[in-house]
Amino acid sequence: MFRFILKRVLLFIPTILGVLFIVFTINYYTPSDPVYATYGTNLTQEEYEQKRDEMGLNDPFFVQFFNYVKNAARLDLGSSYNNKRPVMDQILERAPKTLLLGAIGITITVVIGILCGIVSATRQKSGLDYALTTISLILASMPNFWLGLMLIIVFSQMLGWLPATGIKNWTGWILPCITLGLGPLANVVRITRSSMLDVIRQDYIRTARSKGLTERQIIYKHALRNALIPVVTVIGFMLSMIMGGSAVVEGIFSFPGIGAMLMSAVSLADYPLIMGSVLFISLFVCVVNLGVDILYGFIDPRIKAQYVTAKKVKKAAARNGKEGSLA
Amino acid sequence: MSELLDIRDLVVEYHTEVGTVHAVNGISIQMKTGDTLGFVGETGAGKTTTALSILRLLQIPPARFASGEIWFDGKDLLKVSEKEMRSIRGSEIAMIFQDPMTALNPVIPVGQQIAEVLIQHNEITKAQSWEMAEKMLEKVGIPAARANNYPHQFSGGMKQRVVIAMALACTPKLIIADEPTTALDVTIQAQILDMMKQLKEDSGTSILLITHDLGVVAETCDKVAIVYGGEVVEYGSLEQIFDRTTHPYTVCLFGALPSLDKKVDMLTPIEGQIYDAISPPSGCRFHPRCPHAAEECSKKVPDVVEVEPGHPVRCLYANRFYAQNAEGRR
Repeated sequence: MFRFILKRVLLFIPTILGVLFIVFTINYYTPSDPVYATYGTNLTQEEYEQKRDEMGLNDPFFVQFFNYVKNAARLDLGSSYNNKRPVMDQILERAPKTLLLGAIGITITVVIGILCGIVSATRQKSGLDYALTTISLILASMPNFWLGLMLIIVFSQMLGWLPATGIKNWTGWILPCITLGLGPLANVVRITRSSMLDVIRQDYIRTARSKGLTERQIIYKHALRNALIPVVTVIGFMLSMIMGGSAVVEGIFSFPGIGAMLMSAVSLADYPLIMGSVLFISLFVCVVNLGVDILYGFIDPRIKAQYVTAKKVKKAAARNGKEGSLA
Repeated sequence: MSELLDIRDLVVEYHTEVGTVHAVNGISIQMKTGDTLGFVGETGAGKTTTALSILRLLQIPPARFASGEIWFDGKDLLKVSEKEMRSIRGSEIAMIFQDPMTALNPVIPVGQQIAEVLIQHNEITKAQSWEMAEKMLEKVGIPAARANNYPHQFSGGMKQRVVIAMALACTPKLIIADEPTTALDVTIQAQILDMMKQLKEDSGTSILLITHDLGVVAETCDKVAIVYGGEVVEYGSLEQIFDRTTHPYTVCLFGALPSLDKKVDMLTPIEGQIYDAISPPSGCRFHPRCPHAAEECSKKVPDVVEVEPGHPVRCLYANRFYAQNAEGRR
């Protein structure tokens, strides 16, 4: 298990290098000028050339990229062109809020989504099932920037219950969290439902029933764990979507997180800030995906068996006699 | 009533989009404590439906109990509450399913799957149930240390042993074994059957053995019911069925068996299509395939004729066939 995790963590490096390379290349070929972005347009030609040299912008493309990666490895992500503050500081300041927003969003998605999926599957073809599948279909087809704006119109403008922007107190968190969680929620409902429907027709559910277990025990002890295997896969995908989506959602609600920072950095052509935000988001997605893969092992022992090294399998086989884990 | 299990005129239908499937059409069987009854018939004869009816495990709808009673230990199982039914499942009647590969939950250790049924029906702690589960595993020939293993770590034969351990855990009065050896290869089949016989002798349970394999029946059962088209067409002791075979269908079944002492190039199949449960034939349900069918057979529904004490046969010419077949053997 430890070796498995170590291997996966080492794989983060090429993944993140790849992401950085792509973003760096896009930035490099974007027709806006970092010198003007930093020092304004009132520079003489001489001053301009000097600044360009200072900022390393005259170096060849690969040298620039290499320098960036070298500094990043020492946790120096450069300074923002715009407000001149170190990117690292800005990220550390904003990261907890974005992480909390993402965590609440994904919790809403997972808890409500799985519960609705179970209800929908166990009462298949009932009015409740149709209602839930219809609602989730509608939610799935709503883009989050539109949903966010609609929620602002209804709950801030018309009803005046919740603030439209900012997070002065906890009420400011409600709309961003809901906007972030609601879109992927629909997917979780649908996957849980279909996977649950598949599982409750399996023979081992009939076995469980023949043992005299209650319906509740059958669903939550026997069916759910099996039904969750495909759901976990989808949640892994969704987390990256949620993190990407947080840029849009934070922008709409002027939420002081990494996403909003990324949005404004893009509009100001603030390259170090863009690179830093993307680095943070991709690192987070990598960690979460690893977490999902480990979680897999806990849900499905057949997958966990694959994480164990061949040596251990042989040892276990020897311990258990003729029929070991290889069978 | 000294019968442990008494099924009377059970009729079960499935309502589907293509029509009503008449799966079980008035099956009646009786079992005494300690009996092993072989329930023999081909695919689609209504064997499994009958078995699942006893435990009320059929999905309703599409299934529907049209009529009949299932008496078990003085209770009509079709009338008791769902709660009472749950207390019977697993503790008084247990079931062994056909395919051990899919009958165990893949994400729960086997020991826990056995312990679960013990906790459900006894007032014991988790630790006690685990200990008992380990003992059950040892009883079926699996080392107790493997209780922590998951189903994917066992071979097919061992999985079936686990399933049997699970069924026996609460020492039920009746075990329904639905083709327990069909999914296993022949050497394992023999092991499993021997083990079931041994465990039955130790615990004194009754077994309703569903199978299409007459060899298995000869090995394990003392009573046999031959089912065709959702009806019992012949019933009797092992000796009555094997030595004084009367119903043409049973004769055909024996004809289709390979024999060790006679060299045959071709086995004799039973002609025709298997019984169509959506539009059953008129008269005797077997008449379209019966080698002795007369015109009368397609018009008249045959009554049950008791050709000798304890040997009822559902055929218009039961007495004639009985006499002929008994003659033929002499």
